[in-house]
Amino acid sequence: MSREALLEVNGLSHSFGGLTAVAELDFTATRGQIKGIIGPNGAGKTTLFNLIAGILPAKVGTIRFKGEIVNRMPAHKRVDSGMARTFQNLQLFAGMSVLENVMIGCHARTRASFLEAVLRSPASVRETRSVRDRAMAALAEFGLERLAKRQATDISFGEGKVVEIARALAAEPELVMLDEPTAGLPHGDIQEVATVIRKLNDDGITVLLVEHNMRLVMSLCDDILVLNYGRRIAEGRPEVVRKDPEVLSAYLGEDA
Amino acid sequence: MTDAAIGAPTVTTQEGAHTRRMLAILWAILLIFPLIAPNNYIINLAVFFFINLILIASLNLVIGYCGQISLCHGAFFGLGAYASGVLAAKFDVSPWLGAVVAMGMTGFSALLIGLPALRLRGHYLAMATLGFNAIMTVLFNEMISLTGGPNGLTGVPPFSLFGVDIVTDTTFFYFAWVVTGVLMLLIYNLIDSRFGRGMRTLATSEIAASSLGIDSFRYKLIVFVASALMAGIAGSMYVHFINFASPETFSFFTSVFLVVMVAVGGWGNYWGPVFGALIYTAVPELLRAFKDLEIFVFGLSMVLVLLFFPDGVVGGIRLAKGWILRAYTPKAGDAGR
Repeated sequence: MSREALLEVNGLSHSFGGLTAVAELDFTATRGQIKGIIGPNGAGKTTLFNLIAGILPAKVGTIRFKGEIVNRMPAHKRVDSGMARTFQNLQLFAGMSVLENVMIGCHARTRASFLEAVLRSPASVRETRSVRDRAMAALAEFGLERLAKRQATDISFGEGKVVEIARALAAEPELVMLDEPTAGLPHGDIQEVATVIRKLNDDGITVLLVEHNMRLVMSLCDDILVLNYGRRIAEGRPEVVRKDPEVLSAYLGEDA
Repeated sequence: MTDAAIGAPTVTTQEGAHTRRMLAILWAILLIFPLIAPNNYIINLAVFFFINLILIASLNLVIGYCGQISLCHGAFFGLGAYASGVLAAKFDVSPWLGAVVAMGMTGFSALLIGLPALRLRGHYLAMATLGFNAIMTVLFNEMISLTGGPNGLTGVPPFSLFGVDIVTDTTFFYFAWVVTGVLMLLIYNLIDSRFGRGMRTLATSEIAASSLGIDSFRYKLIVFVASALMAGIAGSMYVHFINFASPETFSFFTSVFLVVMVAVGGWGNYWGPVFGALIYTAVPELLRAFKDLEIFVFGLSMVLVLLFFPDGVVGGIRLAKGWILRAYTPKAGDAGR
């Protein structure tokens, strides 16, 4: 583990009222890694994503991204600095086409202001055109050009899952957090998503993957973090984690 | 890529050009309206249609696109009217300069309301604006030396251009035609831009928006201020057109009716406010014989829209278009859903 740490979490805790969702968590994602985060329902995986992305305030512990403490950085600035994510339940924007949803992904990498927009400055028009081309290319890469003009609310759940990945990648992230990317997908599509994840990782993007499909996690991830009740119960290479007695007990309810 | 899915209100280049063309055609038709209008009364109504369109289209930006309920658009309208009207009637300030001051005042008020209220997610703006409209109504009524109080502000001069007063219904019609046309074009430019796409995400989910790099607070604030500026322009046009202003025109009820008209037209749709303004202008005139019946009609239409046509008149038209197209095309799967 001599490679550069992209994301470092130290002593992170978060509770909702009396319920502890994340407790004294430490972990590191190194650049170029696919890091799996698994655990039973309610283990705090999505809360962890929300803390890293800045949707929830991280009050206890520290989150470092590219060496900088980002606890107080607003969510939208974290996107600027290189984070992107998808959502467990689809969060596509209604009243916009699939293409426009992916175009939104480019938001952090473009600049045109309110005034330029209203006055339709040449720079703004050019930017919209280039963003549209980029978004269309991103959709094409996932074989989804046929959906471009459809309303985001009119596509299937599985298609939405992939569109969300395309949208996250349009932000040109260094770290992408995928929250159950294969949940609700038919079997054939799961393999497709796995291919996508491997490919984006090959392009140098670090991946945090929350996923329930164990076969996918075991085959994709370099490293797995196992949570239960917000605590780390195991961390390491897939073949090690798989045999960990505490992990088995958390998943199967056996006595350790 | 020419055959867009039926009824998909998307904004992409091709459709962007299409919408601009539609706007140009509509405005070209409106250009000859005074020539075919049977009498001045109808032209006078058309001027109110333009003013209402500015109000409803600007409110649609806040409600339809940013998902924020604002209940003081009537007060911004009134502030614009009184600021511009009082300056001209009491201090001999040129109506043009008055209009600029009116915009400054409405924009600044929106900034003061929005800074605290828009920082939070939820219905804080609705509550803050509710209070603001009540305060403004009190001020319009009580600052009698300036506003004339409940009796209204009289003696407001008209706009004049190159020494010619814009007083007749027809000349004012063309003036309003230009101003409203420019504003409608600017609104469309906004929607069809990086800023506009960012703005349009807010109605769905501010959390998802911020996870994509959109500073939701900043976007909401800018749109709220821009919307108030436009209401200020509408107020200025109104007061220099009828040369009079009275507090009840800008009451809380006006604000509520404007919200209702955004919904009835179709919120979050560019053309929705055109239908909203048409209804808001025509219905009270048609029901003139029955005092206050329009309040009942507006209330009922809100209920009907919420129950049956969540996308308003525009959504209803789209549904009807879908039925007709389906009825006249041979069945080939369920395309065009």
